[in-house]
Amino acid sequence: MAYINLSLRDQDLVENPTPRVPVVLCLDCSGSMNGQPIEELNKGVRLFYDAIRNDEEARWSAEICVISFGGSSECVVDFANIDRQPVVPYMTAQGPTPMGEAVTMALDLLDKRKNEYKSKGVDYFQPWLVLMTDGQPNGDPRILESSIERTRDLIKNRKLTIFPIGIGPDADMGVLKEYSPERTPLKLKGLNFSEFFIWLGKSISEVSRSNPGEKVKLPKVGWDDLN
Amino acid sequence: MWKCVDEAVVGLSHVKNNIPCQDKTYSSYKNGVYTIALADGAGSCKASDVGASLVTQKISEYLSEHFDKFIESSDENSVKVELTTFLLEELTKKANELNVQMNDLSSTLLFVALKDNQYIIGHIGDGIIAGLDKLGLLVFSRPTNGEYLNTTYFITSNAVVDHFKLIRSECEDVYGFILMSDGSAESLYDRAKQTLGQGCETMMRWLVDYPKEDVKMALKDNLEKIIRKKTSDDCSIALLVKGKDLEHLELKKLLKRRYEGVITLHQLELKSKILEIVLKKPLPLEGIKRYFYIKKRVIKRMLTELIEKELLTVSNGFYQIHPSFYNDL
Repeated sequence: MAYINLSLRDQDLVENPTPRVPVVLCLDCSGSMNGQPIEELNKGVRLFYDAIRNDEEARWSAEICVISFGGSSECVVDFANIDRQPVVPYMTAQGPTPMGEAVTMALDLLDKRKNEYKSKGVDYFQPWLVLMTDGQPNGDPRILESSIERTRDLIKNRKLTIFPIGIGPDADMGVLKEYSPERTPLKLKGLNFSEFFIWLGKSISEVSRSNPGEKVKLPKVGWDDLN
Repeated sequence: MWKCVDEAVVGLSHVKNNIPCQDKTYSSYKNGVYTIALADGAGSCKASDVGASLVTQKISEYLSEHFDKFIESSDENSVKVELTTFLLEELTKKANELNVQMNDLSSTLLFVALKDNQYIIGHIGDGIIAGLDKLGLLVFSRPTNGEYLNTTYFITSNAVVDHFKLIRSECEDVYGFILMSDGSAESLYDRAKQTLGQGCETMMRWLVDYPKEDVKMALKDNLEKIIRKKTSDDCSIALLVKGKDLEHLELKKLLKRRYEGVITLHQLELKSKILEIVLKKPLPLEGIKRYFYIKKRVIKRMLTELIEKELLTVSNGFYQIHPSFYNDL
């Protein structure tokens, strides 16, 4: 049988936006992080951005939002593709630890971003919230409580994945546990932010590559303090 | 007369990780029922390719056997329950045979079954079921996913009947149907506008105008070289289109080819007329005889000869077109 050349042309096809992986980094930048801790944190965030930028899948799908809480909670960088974030965020340490306010801000920005995705027909993966602290929250206790309840509700309904990380000996692992009913909070090994953020970059890359029904296999954790 | 074709290709991420293609497709014509089916195996389930292959074949067989019952039933829910129960029983048997859990065989499922002028469409999970009617392309069924991209429903999901879309209707003005997995939909379905790419109609028209074996090759080629490039996922498509009504002259040409030219003009005329009649719908001997002014035994002999040439088959006293007939189109 003679081969008949039947080929689809460019105009036969559609262009769909890349599915997104929204990631919120909620970072303790209170006074106790001053000195080496904040330097290592900034270094880790830079490595994270580099990892995402250099990964051909994650580069187009990861959308990063950075919120710092030290004195007040601040959105350092709102959700955007990495190409639109050419400058890596840089945090400074000062003030108390308004954790509840920061997580509330993170969840609000996440909701807003998801609505934008929906209105533009952009598919997205389950969002990730990375919460890192070296101390105890001392913002408004009512806001802390409602942020915990809201986070737990989202996790229970499979609408959010949280990675709660304690830094140093004074980190309140109890409050991190309250935010994360399913995943046990881990403590960072020393100030090993770099290893953690490299792991995070690889993990985001795995999610970007996953297909429906696939369980995402995250890279092995090596940045935590097993003791 | 309708024509169907189906094809699936492995996604580039599966090639890289040495995983088999988990998209499976199937098409058939049996008991006067045309069916196309497509299933996308769940990525993390170790035998989902086996599950997908099983459900596409079994649903086609079941619909071919029970089409009339399902199209006439006034209780849509009971149809869904019966179909899912049947499939889960088949999956259970297969799981026991392979010594795996039933969930290891999880997949989505899309199908169209068509008989005479009526069709049944079924959809569980992601992927798209679309068609072509006199007004152009239309979407029959969109994906039923969770909120997130990497979540969807499978045949093995809890309360699957609640997520099973079933459509039963008449295809007066429908010329074609297309099933596509989510991998293929990346190139053929605009998620933001919720509209279909022109390529859906292009491929359906290929099947109208060209022999199905040529279209099957072209489908595989396009899936591998064009559609697969836009995603890392497996890609699959199944098409069911209304073929051109065969002209009497074309039937004669086909008969001459099958008989390798050794057939009298009289026989050619009678047999091409028999084929033309049976192409419209399967009939018993008495039904076919009504069209002729010749003895019944002569008709019977010609029918027997056509069966020997694999142009007709007979089932429960009804004569119908042999599946291999379509290979010559």
